[in-house]
Amino acid sequence: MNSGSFSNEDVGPDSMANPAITDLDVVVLSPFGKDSALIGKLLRQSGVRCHAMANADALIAAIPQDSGAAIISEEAMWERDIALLGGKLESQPQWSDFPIIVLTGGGMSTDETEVAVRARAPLGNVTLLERPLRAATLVSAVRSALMARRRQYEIRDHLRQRELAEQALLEARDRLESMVEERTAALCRLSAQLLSVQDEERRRIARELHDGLGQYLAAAKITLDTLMISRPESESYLGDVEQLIDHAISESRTLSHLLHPPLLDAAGFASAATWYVEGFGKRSGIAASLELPDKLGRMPTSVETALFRIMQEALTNVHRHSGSRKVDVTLDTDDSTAYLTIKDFGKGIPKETLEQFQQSGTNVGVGLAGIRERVKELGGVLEVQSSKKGTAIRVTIPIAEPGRNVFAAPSSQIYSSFAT
Amino acid sequence: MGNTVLVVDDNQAMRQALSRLFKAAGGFEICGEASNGAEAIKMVLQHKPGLVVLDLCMPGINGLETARQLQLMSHPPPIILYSMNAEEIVAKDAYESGVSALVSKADGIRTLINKARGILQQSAA
Repeated sequence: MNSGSFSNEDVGPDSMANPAITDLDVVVLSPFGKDSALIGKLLRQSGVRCHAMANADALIAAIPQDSGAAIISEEAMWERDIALLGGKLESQPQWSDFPIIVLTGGGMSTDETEVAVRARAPLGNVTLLERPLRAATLVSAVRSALMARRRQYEIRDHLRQRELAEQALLEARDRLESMVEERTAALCRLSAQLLSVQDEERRRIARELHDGLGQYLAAAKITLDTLMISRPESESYLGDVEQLIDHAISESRTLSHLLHPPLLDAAGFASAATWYVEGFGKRSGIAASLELPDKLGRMPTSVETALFRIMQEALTNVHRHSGSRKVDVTLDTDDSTAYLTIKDFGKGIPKETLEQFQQSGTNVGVGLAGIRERVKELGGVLEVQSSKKGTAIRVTIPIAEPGRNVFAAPSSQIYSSFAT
Repeated sequence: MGNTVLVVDDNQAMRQALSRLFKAAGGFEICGEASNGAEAIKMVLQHKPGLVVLDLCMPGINGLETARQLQLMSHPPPIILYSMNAEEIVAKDAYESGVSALVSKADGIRTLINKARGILQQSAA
């Protein structure tokens, strides 16, 4: 016993060590006299690892995040050391409140150091123990300090785990978002491809009907006509057969032209639309009118094909769903844009269907969805207005100069509205 | 020359039907059948037909282009351009290419025969 730091009755073996705190080290700064050795012995007997420090700088440097607590004799700390330690404690992370046990009233302490230590005490997790002190008091104070420190480490680990989990969650979200983006882009490409494949396929079938079936039927008819010239007596039977062939020719011709009107390629939208609207009126019994600009020149093939297909889809919808007796098709153009409107006077699109189409582009038939895709492909705008008095589909499509992509910038938009 | 007709069509059934028709109608002689534009030009040079009955839609050189090339000859033969449907032909283009008459296959054989006779009579006069 030195300097009366410990009372005599307490120097003896301590109770069992708490295993939960034995992995934390205690650093001891008590460089004068035998306090350091006695504290070390006492703590080791209690199952606590401890390390004696030579001076305040060594102690401050040795308070890493993994230490458990520090025991400091107040006489070992000068004003400067206290300030440095204070700075270190202030810079602790939020979860950390490093426990310090200060032994006061020792033989070497001065009034100044004691005042300074007491002045710093409220700033940190500082326990003041008055010497002489009982060994059990020190051990119990150290125990409490280490248990508190253990809790802090648990909180630290918990925070780290949470941080890692949050990080993982963020990464997963980013991955998902980029996957969704990729899939959406792939779907867009696919739907554009599907439309172009559909156009190409229709063109091909139209050609096959025209060049294949149509030619053979025409040859059969000519042969039949030739027979009728040479054998007038069999004219009535041959006439029946000829009528059948005429029907077949007319059907295959209509089918071919509906699939892909040759006029669209040869003479452009105006001629093809005139032919189609006239035929639509005859086939459906719906009074169909077409209004075109006075001088409509040729537009790029992609625009003419899209306008024709949109008109075709919209008129098919009018025929199938609207119940309208009348439909007006109007095309307007200026230097840069084509405006196509198909207006019927039927029962309108149900409100829920239109709202769903507006929000998610779903719950409508292939007709309207196809129109939307074609408009989107060309960077245009689709507006659908519907009420119980009829439906108007208005499509605005930029007429890009071939080779000049000046209209690529605006993205496609869909406006829908429902008036009751 | 005279009343000879060259039939040009990529479809064999069509060539046969047209040849039979002209034979049955009387007053025509089929001097050959060609299945494409290049063959047609060769046979025109060889047989010098009084009339070429030319299909519009053919793979390779189409009817219109074949007509233009035939016009480059020193004595181009008269041409009837025929197609499945009249609306396939832009009449202005056809006449500018030196075509004498346009006939749609839907017009019927009498139209074709009458126009052919008319053209041959005109060149004989």
